Amino acid sequence: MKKLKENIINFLDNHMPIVFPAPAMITLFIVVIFPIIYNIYMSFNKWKIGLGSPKFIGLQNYIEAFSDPRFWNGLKVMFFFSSLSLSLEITLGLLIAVYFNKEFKGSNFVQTIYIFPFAATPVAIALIWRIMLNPQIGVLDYFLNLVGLPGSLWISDARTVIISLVLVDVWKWTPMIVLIILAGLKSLPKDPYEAAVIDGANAFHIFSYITVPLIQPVLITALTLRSLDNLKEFDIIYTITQGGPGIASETLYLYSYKTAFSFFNAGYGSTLIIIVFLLVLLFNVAMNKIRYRTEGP
Amino acid sequence: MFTTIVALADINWRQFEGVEIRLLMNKHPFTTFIEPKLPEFEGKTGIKVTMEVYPEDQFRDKRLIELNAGGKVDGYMIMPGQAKLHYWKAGWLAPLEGYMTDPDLTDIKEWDLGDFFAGPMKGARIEGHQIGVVINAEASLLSYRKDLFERFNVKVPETMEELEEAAKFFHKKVVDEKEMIGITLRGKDAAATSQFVDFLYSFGGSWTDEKGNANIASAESVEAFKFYGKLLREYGPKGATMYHWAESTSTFMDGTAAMIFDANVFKSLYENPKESKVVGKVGYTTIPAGPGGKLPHVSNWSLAVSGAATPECQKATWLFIQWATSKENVLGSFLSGVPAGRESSWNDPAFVSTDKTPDWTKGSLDSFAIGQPQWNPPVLNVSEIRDIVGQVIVDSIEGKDVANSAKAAAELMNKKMEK
Amino acid sequence: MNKTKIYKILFYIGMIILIIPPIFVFAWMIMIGLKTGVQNIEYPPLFIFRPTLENFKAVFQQHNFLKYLTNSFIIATFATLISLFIGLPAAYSIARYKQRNLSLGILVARMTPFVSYLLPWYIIFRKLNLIDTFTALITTHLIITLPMIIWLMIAFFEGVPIELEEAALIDGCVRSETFLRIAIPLSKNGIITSAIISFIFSWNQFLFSLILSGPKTRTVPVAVYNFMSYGKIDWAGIGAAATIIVFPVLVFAFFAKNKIVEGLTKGALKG
Repeated sequence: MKKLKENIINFLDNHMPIVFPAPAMITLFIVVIFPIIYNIYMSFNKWKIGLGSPKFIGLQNYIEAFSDPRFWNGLKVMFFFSSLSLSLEITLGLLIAVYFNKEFKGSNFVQTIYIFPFAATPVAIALIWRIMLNPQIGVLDYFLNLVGLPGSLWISDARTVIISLVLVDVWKWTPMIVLIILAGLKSLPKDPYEAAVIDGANAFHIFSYITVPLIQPVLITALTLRSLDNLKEFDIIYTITQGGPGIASETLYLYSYKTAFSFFNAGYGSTLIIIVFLLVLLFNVAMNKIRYRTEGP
Repeated sequence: MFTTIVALADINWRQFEGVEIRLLMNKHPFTTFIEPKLPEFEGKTGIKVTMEVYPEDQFRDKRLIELNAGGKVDGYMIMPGQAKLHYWKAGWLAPLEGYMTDPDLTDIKEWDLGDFFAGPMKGARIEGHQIGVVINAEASLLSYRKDLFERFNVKVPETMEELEEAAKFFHKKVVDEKEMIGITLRGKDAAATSQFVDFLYSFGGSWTDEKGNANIASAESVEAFKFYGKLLREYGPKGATMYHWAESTSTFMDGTAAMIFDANVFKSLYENPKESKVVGKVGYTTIPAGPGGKLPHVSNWSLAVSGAATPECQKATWLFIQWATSKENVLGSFLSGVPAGRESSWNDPAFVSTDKTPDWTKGSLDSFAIGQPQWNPPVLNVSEIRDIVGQVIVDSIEGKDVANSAKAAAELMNKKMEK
Repeated sequence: MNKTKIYKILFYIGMIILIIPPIFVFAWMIMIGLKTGVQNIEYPPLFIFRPTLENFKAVFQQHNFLKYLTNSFIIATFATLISLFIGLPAAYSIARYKQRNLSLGILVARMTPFVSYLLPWYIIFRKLNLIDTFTALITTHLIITLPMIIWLMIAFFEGVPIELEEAALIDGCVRSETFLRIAIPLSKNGIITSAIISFIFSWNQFLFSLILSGPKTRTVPVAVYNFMSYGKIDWAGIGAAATIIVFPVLVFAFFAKNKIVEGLTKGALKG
């Protein structure tokens, strides 16, 4: 009996790099890889959900995507939404973090408040924003009027709908990025700052020549992390606009959902999902390249 | 009184005792009415009912995924004008005429098929088969603030010109220190099409022509788009392009809008003091006549039996449908605000004697009499085509070139239509 | 007044401006829940009104929210525990043996769009007769929680000084013992952190629950949609329900604030 136990422990020890990750990796493989294979397979088929069985059509779905104006619209919306929200979140995040990067009374309180938007359930919060963004009865429009600005149509206007959604995303995620960058700032070495002060550098110089380069890796990783969710943003857009007005805020991802579940085109829907997946992958590979270039492998 | 009728009924309600059925329901006022009464049905039949209720959008997704994967769904709600073609072709709808005429399964006399309105019932038929039993009859009405119309001596619109004039009259008018808007309508792309269709038909337009090609770029159809967009742009609420029913009804219930054109079922909202500030101040009438006539649509929700369920469950579900659409239950839901699909409910003394809005009753019945049951584009992929058409409505509200937008949409529609 | 004092005042004014947006949205959410239906469609919006608790009562009495809260709690807890159980050894191994390929695999799992899981998973669970069961929901929530926990824990395990483990090995410990007796206790903070973050993400998940849950297992993010019905949206109910849904995660976040920041920072700094 004792021998058996020893054997097991020996086996564990000798094969640790395989035995330890195995359960998790097998689980992930099952829950993740199978659906990916399913979608890749479906993307080469034409299938109206419920009618007959899938029919193999080769690359036709992919070809169709390129001549589908709604596909290009989705790509464009995705691009605008993500590039705007990501760059705003990182920029604001950095500026606010620098602002709070000092000892002050109430810093604990600020941190507490800033963790809330991150933790709050997106669907619930998006519904609240939907009320606030209503141009007829919404409180945001009221504030604009209060300070003498003309009202905005917010999500009702094709020209401002994406910006309104970006506003919600920025509201939800900037505080978290502030906290991450703040922690990064706290761990920066002190010497360069001391040297700069001795050399008589002003605050702006310190910010642009010392802080930004030093904090850059943190910014890039925060950006990578955020992009994982941001490029596939669903809950907020689905809840607030469902892609409207018309298709002015319909991201490629939302379009893929509608194609499968409202238009019942499972094959084409899968094709769009695969394209979204590839875009996310591509973005991450690119970010990784940038990171290695700045930090070395 | 009712119990004696049941006792005399000539079918055996307990013939499927112990059978379990699962129903998918939309969160519709009818569901709200019938759900608490389930124990009554279970007690009467010994059938165990699981009823799952979802808001409309989530309901559609869920119903589709479950039926496709062969989930246990024995019965469900369906809007035939929206989904019957697809669901019928997929084999998800069981024909009901066999049950309806089977004296072992149906208390033919008591249930009284002839009592249902013919139009909506016809809407729930496909290729000669009855695939659903209507639980409500829905038409859209022009609802207006009769207090203000009387006070300012404005004529209740009977034509589209008069509608525009009335909207213009009230728009931006300050009444009791509140700035009014002329009219509120649905403007949110696909969601708007089900109300816009009444304007489309009344202007002489149509979704498709006789050959089945897109007809939304015809001169008449374009006029309808232009008119609808102009109403919302010039006399409507701010941000109308995101106006679904909830936004539109709240603008009216808040007392901001002088008129609203939407489903008659929403009367129960307007007249509910918990939700609305315009209780008792609303008048109702049919859609004004356009150049093409007065052509409202009539739609309905129906209860259907799943074509994929086992025969026993199908029959048990039929018993449920028969019970849910009995004269008594339809009347009950009618009194709670669901426009009934049965004639007897509208004539019932319990309703007539308590009817506070006879103009609503008249408007609804008049609309049913002339209502068009085909209110969606006659295609399989209704949602996709409604999205395409909805874009023209949005463009029109935004003041873009409607003729061009309609032409582009018609081309896309021809490419995407599936039949 | 001297210069530093003015700076100080200016700083605090800036601070207030910067914390208004998060506070306001939550405050407004609570206010919506405390208003009646009519008050909620009033314009200009009401800031002062007689609050009512009716909506909160209705959320529990008519909408059965206690059950949905329990469901969400069960699912999030089990998804997190299972993820910890199988995720910790994996993270440890990846950290110690620099298994880059495996960590890339985890990244791919995090990149996959959730929509792609819906149909295949529904079909499988349907075949296994598992629709509307906790098993199905917990399994799919692993898609979110497992990669999250591994990802965060790799960073924490890398922070455990290898010298301590080597010393233990010399003392006669076997490797699996060093994992249990040294790495795990030393990473206690990290484990708590990743568990909390994983819980929050599971609690907030909407899509999987929408498609795979039923009356027995419906979770709170799906239940909040019940306030939309034919012709109207019950804003007051939504305000109350949203407050109730958000409340537990906010409490969590409040007590574990420093830990969450540390976890996300470690994850981010390490990349």
